[in-house]
Amino acid sequence: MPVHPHLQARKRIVILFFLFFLLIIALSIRLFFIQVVYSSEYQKRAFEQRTRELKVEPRRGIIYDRRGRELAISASSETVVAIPLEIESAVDTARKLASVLNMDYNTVYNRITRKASAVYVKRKVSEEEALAVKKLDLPGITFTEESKRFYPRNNLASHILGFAGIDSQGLEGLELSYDNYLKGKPGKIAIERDATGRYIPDGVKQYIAPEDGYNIYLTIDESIQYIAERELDKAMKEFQVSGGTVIIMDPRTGGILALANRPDYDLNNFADYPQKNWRNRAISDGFEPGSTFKIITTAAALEEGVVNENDRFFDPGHIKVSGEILNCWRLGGHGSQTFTEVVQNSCNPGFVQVGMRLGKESFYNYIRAFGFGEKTSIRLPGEASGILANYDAIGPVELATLSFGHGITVTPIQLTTAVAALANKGMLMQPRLVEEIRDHDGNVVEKIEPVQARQVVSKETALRTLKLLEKVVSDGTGTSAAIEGYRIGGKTGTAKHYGAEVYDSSFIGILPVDDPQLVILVVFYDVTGPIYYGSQTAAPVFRNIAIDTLRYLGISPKIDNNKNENTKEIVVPDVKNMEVYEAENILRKNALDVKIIGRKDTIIKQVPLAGAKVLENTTVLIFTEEDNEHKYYTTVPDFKGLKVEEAQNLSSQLGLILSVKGNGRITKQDIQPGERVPGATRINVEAK
Amino acid sequence: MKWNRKLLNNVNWYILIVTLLLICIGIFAISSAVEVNKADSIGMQYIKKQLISAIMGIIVIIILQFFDYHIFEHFSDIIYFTTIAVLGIIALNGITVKGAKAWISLGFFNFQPSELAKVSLILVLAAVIDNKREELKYFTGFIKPCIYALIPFVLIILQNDLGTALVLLAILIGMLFVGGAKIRFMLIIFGGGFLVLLLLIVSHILFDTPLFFFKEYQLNRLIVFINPHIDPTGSGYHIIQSQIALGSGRLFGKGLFSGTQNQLGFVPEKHTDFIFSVIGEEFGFIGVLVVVALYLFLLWQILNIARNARDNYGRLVAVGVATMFFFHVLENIGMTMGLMPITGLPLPFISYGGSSMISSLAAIGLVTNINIRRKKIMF
Repeated sequence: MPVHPHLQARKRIVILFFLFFLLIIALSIRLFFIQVVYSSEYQKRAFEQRTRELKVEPRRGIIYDRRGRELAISASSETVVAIPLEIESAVDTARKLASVLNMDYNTVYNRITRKASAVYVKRKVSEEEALAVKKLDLPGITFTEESKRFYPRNNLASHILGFAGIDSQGLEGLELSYDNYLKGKPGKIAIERDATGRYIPDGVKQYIAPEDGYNIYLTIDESIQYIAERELDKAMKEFQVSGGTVIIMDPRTGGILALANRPDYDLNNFADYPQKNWRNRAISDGFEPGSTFKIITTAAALEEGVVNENDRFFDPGHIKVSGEILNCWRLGGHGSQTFTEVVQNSCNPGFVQVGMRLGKESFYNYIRAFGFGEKTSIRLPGEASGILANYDAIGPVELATLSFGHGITVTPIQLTTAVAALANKGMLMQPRLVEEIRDHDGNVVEKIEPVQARQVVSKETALRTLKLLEKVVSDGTGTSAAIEGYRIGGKTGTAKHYGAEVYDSSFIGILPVDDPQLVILVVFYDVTGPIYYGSQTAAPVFRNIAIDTLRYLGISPKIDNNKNENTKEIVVPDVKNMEVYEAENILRKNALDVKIIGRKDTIIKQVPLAGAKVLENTTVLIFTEEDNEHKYYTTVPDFKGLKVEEAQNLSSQLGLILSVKGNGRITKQDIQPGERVPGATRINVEAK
Repeated sequence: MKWNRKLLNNVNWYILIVTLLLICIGIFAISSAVEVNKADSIGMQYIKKQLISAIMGIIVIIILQFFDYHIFEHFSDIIYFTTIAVLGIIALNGITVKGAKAWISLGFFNFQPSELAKVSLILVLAAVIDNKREELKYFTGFIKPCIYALIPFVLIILQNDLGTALVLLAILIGMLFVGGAKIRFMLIIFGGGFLVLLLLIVSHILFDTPLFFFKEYQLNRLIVFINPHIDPTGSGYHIIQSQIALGSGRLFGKGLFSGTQNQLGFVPEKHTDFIFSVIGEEFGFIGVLVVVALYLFLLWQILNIARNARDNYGRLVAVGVATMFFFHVLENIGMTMGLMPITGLPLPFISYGGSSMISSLAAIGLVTNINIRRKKIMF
């Protein structure tokens, strides 16, 4: 049956309306999702699209010396910015900019045609460049202010300060290690822009001011630093060396007054120098200290009581340790000498004997206690810890060489810090470079107090060591460091590179020795040529630095009258077969020191022998047992050429029993010089 | 039926009020889109032009009421051939605006005849379908109105105005449906046509065969509508920006003149094709819901008039007008959300544009005419 057309049409209109209705409802549902359900996502995208966040650079903190003199400052400088959309002729603009800014045309062209709302053309340009660009008055070229690091003294203290990069980020030295304090917090500015990238005139939506970096006050004194660097420069011309280091420390606080290396570099143009010039050798490179390390051996030995100043040693020019022959720097040796003289003469065989007496365990502990083999926590990047052999790898020969400073590498800062401990009554201080940190209003944010690391040796030992070191400068190998009117303690060091005629030479001095205020280390690396001893190179440079530094600090000279106090000679009494307590009593009454070897009660032998003439306070070794560890063995002297009487005296001082055949001068001895023998060993000699 | 004052008693005021409301919303949205709030804006010119077009359109409505709509049935051949002639002339030499050769310069006013062509086609198709009501059951009768529509369809495609061509197609389908065409025929013709088109596109993409009816950029619009992020700064830019504007408007909108995406120029073609995005951003979901509800109400009223029309011709005209408005709204809003390809169809009564405004109001006038003459007047 055909449907009535009217009815069918009306029905289809209703269907059509429902179709319209459904589709429009579907649209509305979709709208609901976009505008309500996912709206926050779209809102975020809208915000990101129309606002551009610009970083507002904070001013980097200033670095001052300890007297408030500026060592690193931040000056504002202009950066050339291009807005590509506003540039009319990119070719023309690029050509002009390239010539004025001294840049490559293609580089400039590529930058200013980049698809971005703004690009840097050249950052932190000089004033002249900025002025020239402004004169060109190019459309689409504007400026923004950025801060640029500037070092007013160029090369001065370059290795301490280090430098900051183009984004004011610390890259080396204190600029790097204190970057978190110096850099400050950048601010933000959110600017609204339209679809073509133009900024809206009053479109600033948000401004967060930057927080300027903190200012840092160093322990460095610009004037002392200058003295050190000037003398280093002179020495670099005078001697044939590859480089040098000077560290000046106040031993009472661990504060570093100056630290300089050569070669160095200009902080304002650091990129023009090879990277090796950036290297802070004072903390990053170890060197073999040689004799300067004997200070550590001395202090340890005195503290342990294994040696006294007047104890007598014999140096025939070499010493035999486990079959190896170790030579003294002086051909033929120093002969018979007290320990004071051993230090004074920097006598290697003498120190070997002292090192033997200390023993491996004890000596190793002192080396560690003085801070060798570990970083000093100076808070500069790239600190090395030096090379200290493993405890287990140290045999008798290694122990022997360690005692005169070979077979170990130390960094200059380690050595300075260790010796400074002796100048500070035995208390090891952590080295410091930063005194305090202040905010830009001058409020102290952090004060870095001196840190006592540990008491390494007693105050008494420290003072006795200094006295010995004073003798080195007044009468020994360090006389070229002496300054009239000042009491100076010090020690030279010369270490030959293995297999080459190249040396590392050093001098470390403490002054004034009766009230230490300065510890100065001078090191020269890879010294070649005729003049290479520490006493010839480092010591005079130390002297020049010390003279000017003392004058600058206003430390006035003192005339010292009671220079030579006479020490009495004493005849050693016979304590053999006595009980220990009895012997100790007698010896102490005779102004002699005592060292007991063994755990038994009765004395089986003594060194020196009874009847020997010795200086007061000499240590008498009394043995209740045999010296199985060979610690107190005696080095056999060279008797040849001596008169029988002299030989007798020497042997009894050293604790050797001499059997003489014949008269006159001694021509033959059965145990060869340099051999180490137990105390009271009989030596047969022939005389003619 | 001649003019009689009593005809006024039959006026459906709802349609007129809803139309005026939509025009008002349009004026506000355009003011914001052309940034009349800014000091250096030339936006007032747009507002003036839009107001003048609206007034002209209202005059057209009033004039239309004096004639019985059957006059259009009587002159439908003349209307048809005039339309084809005009479209033909433009296809040969028109002014090209944004890729579409669709404008004819009348000296003081650039008129877009394709806008009027839609209304003309409604009148012509209504006459054709009404005449062949019985033959519609057969394929030959069914195909006749299709051929009538095909000629202007092709001419408009030649003007690169894909959107308007699709509107013609929609009108044809809507009117055939209500006119009583067999669903089977409609599926064969329109479903088959759609499949052919799909094959053309797929083979173009895969084998680079020619597109015939399509231009490359039209295909691009189609592809980005499926995934705008293929080309976010190029073809996909419109869709992404429009969605951001809509979405960032949230429930209540940012307020008039406060739509940042609109005012900062991120929304493209914002006073014409993408006016809906501006409304969405500044008035929020609530605002767009009001607009959508007004359209739905308008469509309901027009279809109601169709239902109650005195004769088949009037019914078909009203259905054609409703279908035309519906397709504009669906396509335009769908496009702003990325549900429809970008074709450049205006949102009736709201988008800026004189031709569209006048022809839309003329269509309303036709519907009103049918309404007031729906039944015999009792004297």
